[in-house]
Amino acid sequence: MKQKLYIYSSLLVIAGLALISSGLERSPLIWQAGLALVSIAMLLSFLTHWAPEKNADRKT
Amino acid sequence: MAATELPITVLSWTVSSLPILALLLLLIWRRWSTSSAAPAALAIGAVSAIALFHTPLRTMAVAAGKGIWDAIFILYVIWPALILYNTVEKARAFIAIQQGIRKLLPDRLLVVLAFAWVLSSFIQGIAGFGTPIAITSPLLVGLGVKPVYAVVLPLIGAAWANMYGTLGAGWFATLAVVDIPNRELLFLYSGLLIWIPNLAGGLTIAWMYGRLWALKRGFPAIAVISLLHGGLQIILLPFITPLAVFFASAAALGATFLLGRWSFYRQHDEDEPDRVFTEESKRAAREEEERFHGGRKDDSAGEDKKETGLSLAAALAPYAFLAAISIIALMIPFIRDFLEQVRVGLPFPETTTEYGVYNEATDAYSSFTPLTHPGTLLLLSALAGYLLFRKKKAYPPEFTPGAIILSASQDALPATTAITALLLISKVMDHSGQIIILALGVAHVAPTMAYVGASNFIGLIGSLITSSNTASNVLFAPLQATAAQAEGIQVELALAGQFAGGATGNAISPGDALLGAAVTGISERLGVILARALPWSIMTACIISAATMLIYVLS
Repeated sequence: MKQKLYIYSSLLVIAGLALISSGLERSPLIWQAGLALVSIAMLLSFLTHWAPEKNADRKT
Repeated sequence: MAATELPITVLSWTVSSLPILALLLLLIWRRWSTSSAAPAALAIGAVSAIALFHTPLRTMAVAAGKGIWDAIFILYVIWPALILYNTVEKARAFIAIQQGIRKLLPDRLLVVLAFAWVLSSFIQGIAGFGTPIAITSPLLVGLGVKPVYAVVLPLIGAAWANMYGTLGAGWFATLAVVDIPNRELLFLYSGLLIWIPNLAGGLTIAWMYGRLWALKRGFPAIAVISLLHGGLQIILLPFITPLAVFFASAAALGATFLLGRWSFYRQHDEDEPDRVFTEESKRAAREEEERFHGGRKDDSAGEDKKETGLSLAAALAPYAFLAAISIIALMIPFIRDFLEQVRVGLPFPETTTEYGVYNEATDAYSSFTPLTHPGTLLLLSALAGYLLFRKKKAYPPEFTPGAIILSASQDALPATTAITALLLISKVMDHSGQIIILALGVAHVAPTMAYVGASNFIGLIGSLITSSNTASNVLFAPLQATAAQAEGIQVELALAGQFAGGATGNAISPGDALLGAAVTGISERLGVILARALPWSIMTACIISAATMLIYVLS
């Protein structure tokens, strides 16, 4: 679960960057969508605190 | 950036410090992982940026874009570093390294000093962006050092080399933003002040290793190495600024191996309190010792090779390859110029806030050169290592490269979101003017003498927030120069404080610490790492402050 959240968050960040960088010179809607995706990505990352752990700290 | 109407009040300063305080509290006190703590701190920074510092959403979008782009730059070190680590680890090459180094440098304290202080500084001399941590932390784990110490020790050990290391990248970036009236004087002041984190680094590594016992045992080596590091840096800075750290740390690296041949570092002490090693590695060392004293020294070499299938030279080959291609790609001017023709950067428009915090438009923001980037060099080394180890049949027959990537991604994924969030905090605070408020707040309230002492703390805050000595200088060097002139202080002294503080702050920069945590498989323990490095940074910064004030009084 945790690992999936990390993957989704990373993908949303990349998509967010693509929309922000392409939208800033074109349409406010595009960069706003990018900013929203980045916000959701950060929310998912934040939620990993409560996600079930699978194999954290495996080398400690 | 120009900050024209920013409110420098107790309220604005307190609000500006909240994201950093929240981050440190969640990491150190609540022991949250960075991937959860950083977004929480980011939310605080973003809300205050919009509500209190009147930052438009468009500026926030630009800050987000730049932050993600900066994160990609760092993640392109983390992912390849983890791939290299897993390439070596899956071939069981770290066992061969552990056994081979034990014969070359029998003194384990000297081994820890050699890797965490000398080698990490040497790497910092050539390549920055966390590369020293990305390389030495896994090596230390491979040598049997506990993962938390494997990150903390090189963070402290390489901190001093951040300012003039990376072939002078931080220095050149600083020259682009500030005029320095007397460079020779700046080199002298900054060389003296940066010597403090260097010596404090060596002493602290010994202290962490085994308290007073290790300080006594390590003192001759620490004195020689620090003299070479700090002394040579001061001598070389005026002549070959970009190479001063490289030559100083190369000389220290040679001296360390000579020290290893000295009989003083070949005596065994039953009471050695090696706190930084795992129990497993201590047991292996004891067995090695017994074998050695049992007169079967020659047999053991054969047994070691039989156990791992690799010699020390073969096990270290990927790292030797990395050093060789780094020197070729980064230090031979015409090759470097040729490779740096390929540049990648994103365009961003200008931004402003209602308080007049302005950032210029750029055609290629933070452009980097993929062919000389540490990530590419690490990937090439991982490939070379994989081919060599496969040829030597160090991997099991059914082993595939996919297993290396899969294993690397287990640690890299949490670091990916965490690094992104940290860089987003940095950029949001930068574009909304919160970082400037933090620095101006210190400068405004401090009387002259206090400002002299506080100059290095401003540099430290910059490194802490941006995870970069260079970024700290770019942000704060102009401010330090302006404040110094207003207070009637030598600009060179204020900048020297900034440089030394920026270097010291790198030991607690969440970005570098997280990179180290990721490559040693303890991404969730960033708080513990910062809690260990924080006292060192604060104490060292206090000593730097005292030294800066002493120079001010004497000059």
